[in-house]
Amino acid sequence: MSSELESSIYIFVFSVLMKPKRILIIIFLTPCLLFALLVCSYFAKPEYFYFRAWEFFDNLIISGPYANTQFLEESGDSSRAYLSQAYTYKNNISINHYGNRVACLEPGQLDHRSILMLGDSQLFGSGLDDNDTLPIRLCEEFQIPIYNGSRLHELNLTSSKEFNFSSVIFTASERLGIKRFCMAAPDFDKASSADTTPPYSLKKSFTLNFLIQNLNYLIGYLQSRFSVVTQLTLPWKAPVADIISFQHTKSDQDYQDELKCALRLNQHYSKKGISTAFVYFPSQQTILRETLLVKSDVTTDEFIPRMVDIMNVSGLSSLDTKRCLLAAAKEGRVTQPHDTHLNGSGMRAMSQCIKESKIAKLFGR
Amino acid sequence: MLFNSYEFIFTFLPIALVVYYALGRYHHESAILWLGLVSVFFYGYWSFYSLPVLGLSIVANYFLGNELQRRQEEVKKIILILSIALNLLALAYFKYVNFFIDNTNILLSNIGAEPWRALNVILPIGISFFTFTQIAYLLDIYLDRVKKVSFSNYMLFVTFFPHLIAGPIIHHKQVMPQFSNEGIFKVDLEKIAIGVIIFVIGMAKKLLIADPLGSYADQIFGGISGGSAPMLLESWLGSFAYTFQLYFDFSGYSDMAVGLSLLFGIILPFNFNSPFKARSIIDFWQRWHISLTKYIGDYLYTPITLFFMRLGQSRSEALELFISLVTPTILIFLILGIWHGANWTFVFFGGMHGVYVVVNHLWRRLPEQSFFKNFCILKIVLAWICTFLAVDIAFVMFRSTSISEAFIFYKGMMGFYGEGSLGSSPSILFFLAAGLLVSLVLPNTLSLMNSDSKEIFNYRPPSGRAAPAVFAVYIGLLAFLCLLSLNHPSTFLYFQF
Repeated sequence: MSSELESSIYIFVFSVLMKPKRILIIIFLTPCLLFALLVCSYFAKPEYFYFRAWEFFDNLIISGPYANTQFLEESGDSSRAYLSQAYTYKNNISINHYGNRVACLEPGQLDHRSILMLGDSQLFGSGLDDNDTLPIRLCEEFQIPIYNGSRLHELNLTSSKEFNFSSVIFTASERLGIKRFCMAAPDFDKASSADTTPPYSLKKSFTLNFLIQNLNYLIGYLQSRFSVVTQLTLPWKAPVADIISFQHTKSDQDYQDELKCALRLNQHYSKKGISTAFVYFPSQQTILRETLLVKSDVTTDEFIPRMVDIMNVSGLSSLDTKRCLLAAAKEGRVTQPHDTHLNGSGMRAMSQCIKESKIAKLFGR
Repeated sequence: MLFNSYEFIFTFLPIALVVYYALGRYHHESAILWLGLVSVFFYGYWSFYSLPVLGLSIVANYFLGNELQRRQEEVKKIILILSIALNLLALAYFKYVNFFIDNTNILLSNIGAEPWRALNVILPIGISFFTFTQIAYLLDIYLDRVKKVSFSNYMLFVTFFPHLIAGPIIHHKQVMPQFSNEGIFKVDLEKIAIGVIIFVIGMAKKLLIADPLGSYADQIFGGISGGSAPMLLESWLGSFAYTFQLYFDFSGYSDMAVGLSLLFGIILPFNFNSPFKARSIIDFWQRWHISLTKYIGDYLYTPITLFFMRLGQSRSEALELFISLVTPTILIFLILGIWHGANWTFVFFGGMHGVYVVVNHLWRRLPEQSFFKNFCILKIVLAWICTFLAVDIAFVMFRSTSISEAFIFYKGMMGFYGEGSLGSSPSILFFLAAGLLVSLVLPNTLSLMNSDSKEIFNYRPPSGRAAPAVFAVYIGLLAFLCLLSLNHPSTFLYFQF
């Protein structure tokens, strides 16, 4: 490009410096306006800024003594590393005024047969409609009150005066294990219930804290999405079988940690007269390992059956969900593609497994 | 504290600016002192243990400079030699002592002798830059090119935080007179506007182009350390990615330094002038790391070349050519290579460019081929391709952690390990295309500053024109994207030098 042409094209740029104040104002205002626009978009259509329903509810819940239902699109944790998603699941997701997902027991319904189920995204029913979650399935199966205590309050729920649980069923993904309860609340069996009783009901929204919480979330979301654009080591579109890349391995120490935590939980709740049981959600890599041609080592492959044996020998209630679901898997897919969660038919199969196991006695069978 | 971090942009910089202009309104010396102190704080924030080294270097060189000004000719020469030797000794100790020990140990192990123990030496960050800056100052005092300066002005000259850690290497003649100019203590919105624009452009170069390309380059080069050899396609993509990463990282830093200094009313020299537009290696080195090549040219290349030219006089043409051209050129570039770091790869890098420059000089001596007289465009394109490839290949050596690693990479570039594929990250092509577009087509910040004069600092805006705000919006948008990337700040490549 000739210097004269360069001059004429770019001299106009510096003609704006005739009014440098104006230039500075525009430069500083532009990002502010852009951010304001994004904030408005966020509050107008917040569902487009979340991968998981509980994050949505954690940040944006409206308080009140009624269940809050949203028709939300979820794509899963593995989608966070990619710009576009391979799969999304749109479902009705309802929570109560405690912030927990609805099942067939609400706070205040004191029933001596009631069962508390604790767990993570699988128990919450991420990617599932309200009627497809495991607690709802078990409600239909056993016709007794069951509370879905996943994701919020968790171990503190037994301290609430609005419940009278006879049993607690701990569920965990095979990858994270039961020990995550002990890691999340290391002193759960030491503190008195008075010290740990949290405020259960959701607080009112539209406070300054609410605004700050949501702005922080939005900034984090935008930053993580932008970093996906600028990272060059992964594709922008999520691959179909991405979840296979998530390998997990189990060592002998993991088995010991699992048992130790389960025994602690059992001991703590037994003192309160509450029975316990422990259930693992197998990973997609585990129950579809041969189909997906996933490499695995023996300690990982045999984790659930071995752990269940160890628990049973130690006097704890558990069931071999892997063997049970393997049979169901042969009849068709039981997991979500692009994710490790059980889908609706998988949860049906899971409830059937529980119904036919020794754990069923907790439900009065 | 990095320029591209929240604490710098939203805390350090506003405080430094506000207090600077507040003090400058009433007492200029205090403003200079304040700027020097915040610069020392900035340096100490990086590396507290290097502060004594910096402090001692400044005090010693200032004292030696004063002695040089006071003394007579014979004593002046001795003081000059002593002061340069002390500076180079310090640089050699901190930067090269373990390199020297490692190589000596190789020799000792060959003769069965006891190896020397490596020293636990922490490299003070920016030592190459502030040592060279001060040596140039001392040389100019010796040559009576410098008037007496106050300690605060000298301290600021050396430590001024925009340039302290990774350049540009500033010359006292360019910067010190500005400290005495009353104008820099008054808020000049025009300079501030230009400074903000250049700072944002620099930050965008670093965060939006250099860092993404760097992640890819690290993956390819890191694979060799992990035992996997790169195939043809990925080795070429990896080399291009690193070449552009290095340019945008370093030129981004330099732009941010220029932009920041303009916020304080001080004008620093530019360091790059679209080096990838170069059509010869000689042209490339006139556009790349300009402050270093100017420094080396003024203080090393010219005197060394003159020395060798006198040596080569009255000899045969071939011998004269070897002595007066080849020898000083290779020597200078070896020095330039080793300046970058204590590794044989840098020496080889310098040697490669020395050979390139010699070949370029010899090519220029040949009569122009009539073929190219008729096909000018072809000549330009071929010249550009050859230059770019030569630079890219040399940067492979620059990036590699060892000579053997570099040769594995070169073999990959020749297809020894197979053809390869784009793999799961075709977006690399997008970023490489962006890098090529920005470096070849878009104006660099030097041309944005002044488009019709060789003198950078003589800009005079035209009058009577309308003021489109599009460019300002574009800069604001770039700033927004950069702010989104600040949550994971990455250091600049030239910090290691």
